[in-house]
Amino acid sequence: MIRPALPRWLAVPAGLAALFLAVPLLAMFGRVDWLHLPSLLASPAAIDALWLSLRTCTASTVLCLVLGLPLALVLSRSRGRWATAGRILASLPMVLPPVVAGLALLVALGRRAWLGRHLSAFGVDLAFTTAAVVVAQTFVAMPYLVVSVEGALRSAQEHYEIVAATLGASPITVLRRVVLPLAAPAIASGTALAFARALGEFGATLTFAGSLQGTTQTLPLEIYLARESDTDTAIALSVVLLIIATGLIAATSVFSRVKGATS
Amino acid sequence: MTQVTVEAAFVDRGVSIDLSVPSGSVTAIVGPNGAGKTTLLHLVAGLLHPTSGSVQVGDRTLSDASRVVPTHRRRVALLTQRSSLFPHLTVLENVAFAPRSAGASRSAARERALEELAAAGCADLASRQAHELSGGEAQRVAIARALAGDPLVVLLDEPMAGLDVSVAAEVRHVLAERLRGRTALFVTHEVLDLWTVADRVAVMDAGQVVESGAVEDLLTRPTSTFLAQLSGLTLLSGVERDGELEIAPGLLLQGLSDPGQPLIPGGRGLAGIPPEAVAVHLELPGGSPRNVLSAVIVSLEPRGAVVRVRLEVASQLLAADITTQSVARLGLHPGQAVWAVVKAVQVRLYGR
Repeated sequence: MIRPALPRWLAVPAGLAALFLAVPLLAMFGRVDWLHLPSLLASPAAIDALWLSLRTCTASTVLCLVLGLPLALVLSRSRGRWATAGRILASLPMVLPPVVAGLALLVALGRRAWLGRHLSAFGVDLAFTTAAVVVAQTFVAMPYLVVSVEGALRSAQEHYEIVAATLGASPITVLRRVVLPLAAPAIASGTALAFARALGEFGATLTFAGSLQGTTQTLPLEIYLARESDTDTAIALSVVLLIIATGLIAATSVFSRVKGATS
Repeated sequence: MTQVTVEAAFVDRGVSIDLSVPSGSVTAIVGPNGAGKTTLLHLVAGLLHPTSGSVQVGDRTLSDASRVVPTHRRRVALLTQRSSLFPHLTVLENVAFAPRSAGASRSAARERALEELAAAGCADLASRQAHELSGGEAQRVAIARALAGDPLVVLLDEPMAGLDVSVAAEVRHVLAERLRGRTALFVTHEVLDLWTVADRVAVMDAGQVVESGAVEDLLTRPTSTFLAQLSGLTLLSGVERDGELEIAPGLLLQGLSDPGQPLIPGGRGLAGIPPEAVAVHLELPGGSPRNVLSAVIVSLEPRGAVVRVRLEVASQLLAADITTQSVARLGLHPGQAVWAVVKAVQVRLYGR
């Protein structure tokens, strides 16, 4: 079957759009000082930032899974006004300016904030620590996991769950052997998206956690600070981020293709 | 004992069912769309809770006003039009699912699954993935999977509806063999399922069971238009006179009296007439005494090699299957007055 063709002139704006996206990224590759790249990435500040980003992103991704997955499961089964409110809440950080997210965290969890004060009483001081970085990243990244997993859970897999129940599977068995395996591709791509978002987190981290080398200064913060004083390092680190992001997006598209094959 | 007793109402769907399915019998549930057949299955499976009344299997109450046993503790298997094999598991893992859920060891579940697969004629499919199966294979595996859990009751909701005729025949064969001696409720639109798989039939209409009994009794002597259509007969009703059926004043129909349910002298009776026993003539045919009825053509409906001609006879409807050539040669058209000739030996007369 041959689908009716699109108007030919659409190729012009479509090509412009692709160029618009490609040119800045390619330009960066052109500006990289490939010869000194290893030594640029080996500077103490760069290594600290890379290592910190890796640790915090791993921690926040695990938190996203541990908290976000149950939320996605509950939302996927909920209907009515509260479910709608929950869905809005769960996706709000995606569209909220990250600075605002950071400020909100500071207002709630900062040293002088009401929740922060209570935490302080237990000896937990969040603001301007590595833990604060993880909190900020989790706050902005979790929606990506929740939204993509909830969508997959809501799509047509109800009949599998019903059949499993008629075969004697208890709710926990249905969850473990049917619901989660069927949602695995969406969980994998949601996790990759959440990791990518956490890796790129800047505004909320800077606002809530500050910028302290080795403690809260993640890759994006280091890039921002180095962009004028040490442009070459900034660009070298940017290229590293770009490569990781490309890998993650490629992985999510592989996951979604796996899903297409089985459904 | 796994007799199923449903005396339950589900108000939202206008359903109020009173049905008892004897232990070890396959009861076909038939009836027009929207009659509540699927609702009945869902009430037994625990996928719907009755607004009043109760559902029992044996002497165990599954649903009533005070308690509801969840689906996974009912030991009630459900087969539907879609096989719903788990796409992330192999065929063997699918069939082993119920024994595993019941707590069987991996090897015991595997053994049980292999047995069921062999019994359903798909032992060679064990290592396949669900998406590698044809529709008929998937449905046979689904049967094996449903039975591997030793369900007390098997519920079937038109499991052959989506299949080609020849494939459906294979699945029907497996069902007939594997359901023998089990308690099952089998929703179907196919008369062949009644003859080959079921031993009892319950007719539903507008949310109620209107008739039930042995397949043999209900299909050979249908008393409702629905059952007559299902069995491929048309019914003419009338009153017994001299061993024949008077379908209109002075208009007598000859046939063979059914020994199981004979006409009562002077009582009301029915004639079950297969459409192939009816011929259509333009002129009044002479010769031997036969059933010759004055008729008017209501409609013509092509059905493969024959045309189903619907006739009005004494204000009742009669169907005749005529070859396409004859229809063309006779120039039959709606509104035309013709003579319907009915072979007496193919007419079954019975009391009601």
